[in-house]
Amino acid sequence: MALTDYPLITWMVFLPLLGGFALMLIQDSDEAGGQRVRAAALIFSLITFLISAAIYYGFQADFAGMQFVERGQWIPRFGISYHVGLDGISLPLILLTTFLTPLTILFSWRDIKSRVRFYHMALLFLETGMLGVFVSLDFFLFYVFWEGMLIPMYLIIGVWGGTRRIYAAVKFFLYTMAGSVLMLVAILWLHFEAGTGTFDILVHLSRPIDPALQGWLFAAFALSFAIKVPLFPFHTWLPDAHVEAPTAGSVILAGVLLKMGTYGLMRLAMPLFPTAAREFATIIMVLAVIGIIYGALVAMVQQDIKKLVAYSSVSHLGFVVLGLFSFTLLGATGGVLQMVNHGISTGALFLIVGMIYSRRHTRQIEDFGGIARAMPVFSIFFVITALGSIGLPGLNGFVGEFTILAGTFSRSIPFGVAATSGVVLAAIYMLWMLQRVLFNGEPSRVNSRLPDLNFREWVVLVPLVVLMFWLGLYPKPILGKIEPSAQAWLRQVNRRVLRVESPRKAPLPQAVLSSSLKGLRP
Amino acid sequence: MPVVIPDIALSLAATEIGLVILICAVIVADMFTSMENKSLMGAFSFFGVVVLGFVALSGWGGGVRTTFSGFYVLDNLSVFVKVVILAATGFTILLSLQYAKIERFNHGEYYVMILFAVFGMLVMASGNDLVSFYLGLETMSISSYVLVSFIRHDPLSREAGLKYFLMGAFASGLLLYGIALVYGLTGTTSLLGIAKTLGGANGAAIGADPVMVLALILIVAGFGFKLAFVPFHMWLPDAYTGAPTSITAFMSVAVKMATVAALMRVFFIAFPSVAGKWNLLLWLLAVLSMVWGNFAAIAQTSLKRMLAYSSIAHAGYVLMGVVATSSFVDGKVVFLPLGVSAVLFYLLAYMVTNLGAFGMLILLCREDYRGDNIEDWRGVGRAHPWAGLAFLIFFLSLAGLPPTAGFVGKLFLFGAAIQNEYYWLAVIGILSSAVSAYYYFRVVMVMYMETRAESQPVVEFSKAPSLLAVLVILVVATLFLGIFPGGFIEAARGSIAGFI
Repeated sequence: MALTDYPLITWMVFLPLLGGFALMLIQDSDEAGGQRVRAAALIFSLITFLISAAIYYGFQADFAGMQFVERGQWIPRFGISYHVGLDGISLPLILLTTFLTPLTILFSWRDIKSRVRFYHMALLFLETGMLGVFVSLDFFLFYVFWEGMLIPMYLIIGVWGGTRRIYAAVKFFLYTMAGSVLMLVAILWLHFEAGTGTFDILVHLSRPIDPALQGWLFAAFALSFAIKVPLFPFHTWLPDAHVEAPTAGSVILAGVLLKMGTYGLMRLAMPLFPTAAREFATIIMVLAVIGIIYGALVAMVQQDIKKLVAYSSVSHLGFVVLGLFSFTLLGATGGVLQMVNHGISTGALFLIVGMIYSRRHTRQIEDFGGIARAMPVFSIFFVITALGSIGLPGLNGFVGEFTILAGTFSRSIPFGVAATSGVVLAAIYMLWMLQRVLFNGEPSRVNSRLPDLNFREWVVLVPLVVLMFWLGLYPKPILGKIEPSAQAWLRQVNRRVLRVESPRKAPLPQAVLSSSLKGLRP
Repeated sequence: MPVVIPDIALSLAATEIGLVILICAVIVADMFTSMENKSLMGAFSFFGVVVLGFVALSGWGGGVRTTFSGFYVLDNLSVFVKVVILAATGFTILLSLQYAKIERFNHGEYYVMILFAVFGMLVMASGNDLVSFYLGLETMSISSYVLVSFIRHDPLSREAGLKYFLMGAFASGLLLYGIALVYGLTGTTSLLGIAKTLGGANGAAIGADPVMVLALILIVAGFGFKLAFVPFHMWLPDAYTGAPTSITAFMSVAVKMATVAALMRVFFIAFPSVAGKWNLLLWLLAVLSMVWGNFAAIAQTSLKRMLAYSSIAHAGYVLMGVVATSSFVDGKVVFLPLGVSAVLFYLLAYMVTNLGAFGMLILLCREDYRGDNIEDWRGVGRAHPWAGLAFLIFFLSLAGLPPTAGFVGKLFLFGAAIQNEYYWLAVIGILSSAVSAYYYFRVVMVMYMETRAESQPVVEFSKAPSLLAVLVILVVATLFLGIFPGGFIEAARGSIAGFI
């Protein structure tokens, strides 16, 4: 039996959910119970990672359509089905998710002391939600995961977060909620008015939609995703949520949740409404460039390391959006790669900030200085990660940013120039921060006594740094898997749709339905 | 003149007849029960209601059958509504068993009055004539006036009962006046007869008559009061807050179910030819209810009152589904089945959810402590994770988030609105639903993210097995309807057979 014959996606998506319920059976009232909960959660997330590795292994790089597809009736009356699958765009993000989750659990080992079980349940539920979004090929399913993800994240920020956690949690919740309800209206429109009578995403992707109507629908989808990305000016929830969330929450937020926005733009908003996407491209690119520069400038003046990293996300995600809306192969491939890169670098940065915070209970840059002497190993990791985030050649960030900028330049030189300035600014804020935290003279008495990394922290950071080098030096395997899908995607978004005659209640051609089941073949 | 005795098929009214027998039995048995054992009456009524539920269910799929000279109809719609109402009644009785002792109103009459109200609702669900519908409505209303003021030693409850009574009586008057005008114009009170007259030769002239407009306004206003649409909602927050919590729960789901079913029957069957007029009125009421209900709920500090306002908003969503059923093509109205089935499914979803939410309030209630303020729930999620989780699931459903019953319900309500191109209604509804997430999640926030103050009493939940069992069932039902709604959607869809 081939690997593709097993329902691997279902196992991967629902194993964390199952694990979350299994945790309910473990008592966490004493320390030993807490350890059992942590170990169980770690094991579940590791098995999930192994399944995703099997999927990676069985993934056919030369096929652009959906793979590992599973489909079953769910609510036939309304054309709702359980339909999952993945392609070269979702695969890297899935791996990123399953890779980061065990690391965050490992990191939280000593960080989270209250309500251990509940915390790990939320983390595992969150993993199911994130994976579900990346594999859903049915709008109903997609929306269930998309919204379902919100609750665990809300609780993680609000229960285990910092001093302003409640404000941050509510803000995060309301922003995301407000965006997603309008998307729901657009989804319902597609279902009822576009005449398909199905919630299947692939069917909708294969059917042209009247360009005259695309604008509104695209706006509804894009707004929802732009809030998630977050695109300037919808970014204000991000610094609050990132700073107040516990470290694991920040890692997941920055590492995966933000990618939901860019992934949504790429998977749904742009290919569903290509005409509108092209019309809106300039506006969105302007917003992306503003985000790149504004995010970098604000990051520069932050006093709090975590806040600095948070604002750097606004800047980095701007690159991804820019790459997607350049409508070039380089931009799209680089965009996907950069989503992964950002997840790794920024995830690692948040972990590093978390490590220093748990030692010193402050994140103010001015409280540090010269800690490279006290914590040499920690500092090496910090420097490598920061350089990876800046985009130093040889590390992961470079490949992604370079391809995105190459794509952008080939479309528009002014946008390319403006975006490139973001790279320079990134070097300024990151290196300046490194200098003030790690170097700058002798450490103070408190700082000179800080212990260096322990074994667990080594285990957390080493895989991330290895990945940074791997993706920086030899990105071919992953790029090779992204590219065919990116090409197919590009064809999809570049197609010209003429006026569609009265789409309403048009019967669904059987041919369209059956061809969609096999995936969107190029 | 010979008197024609109409052929009366009593078997079609088996549920109602059985219910009357049950009521008489409870009244008689109550006389021989000591004050300490009144809960037995509850248990007795509960089992009776369960049996009646199956009796009602047996009427499913028999087509449209009328009896009592067309006064009374048994079709799938009425079966669906009756079964849901009886289920809600069963849950309510179980919720009450312990609570009635705590609030010291554990009298046999309590259960009798509930059953009387249910009788009215069942008649409404089957009312095929403005008169039979009105009879059902009044039986239900008068019983609920009594039920609302059942905590006799509590002035709030008495005030609530009085307010509800005065407003309700006024509303009944409006409705009756409207019915009288319709009778005057068409010469009949039968729903089918009215439709026939309005669709007949003189129909256009009658439909355009200002008196007809007045009649429609009066009928809409009457329904508006009963269902508490804004701006006819003033009585509701007080009545819901003062009433025993079990009764609040009961009224918010069962009364709503019966009245909405009657509303759909009256408007869709009797007045399709003037649909443009009443649809506009209902559109306005739906928007006002959704917006005002949700915004007013934000400001509440009492959880019970917040849920009261939220029930206004939910009535608005339901009304949206009613409005969205009508599709106008070239001035002619066509009723599309999605709207009605969405309304029915939503009411079912709302029944399990809202009963559960009020059940949570009862869970925290004890002799010296009502526990119906938001503050009382502070830190409960930390100390009692299971209770917190249950409440969280009910709130998810109320806010319309997956994977719960409320989400699927809202999805199809909004879907119906979009299918019939009521885009503004859908957008207003969905945005107001986003607002509602704010106040529901404020309670979640208080439960999980805040710690209990030193001065607050320790949380002690009721351990009554009946209450806990109901809550578990309702949580499971809320999730089940959210994840596997297929069968229930088919049932809701099937209830329209022969209706529109």
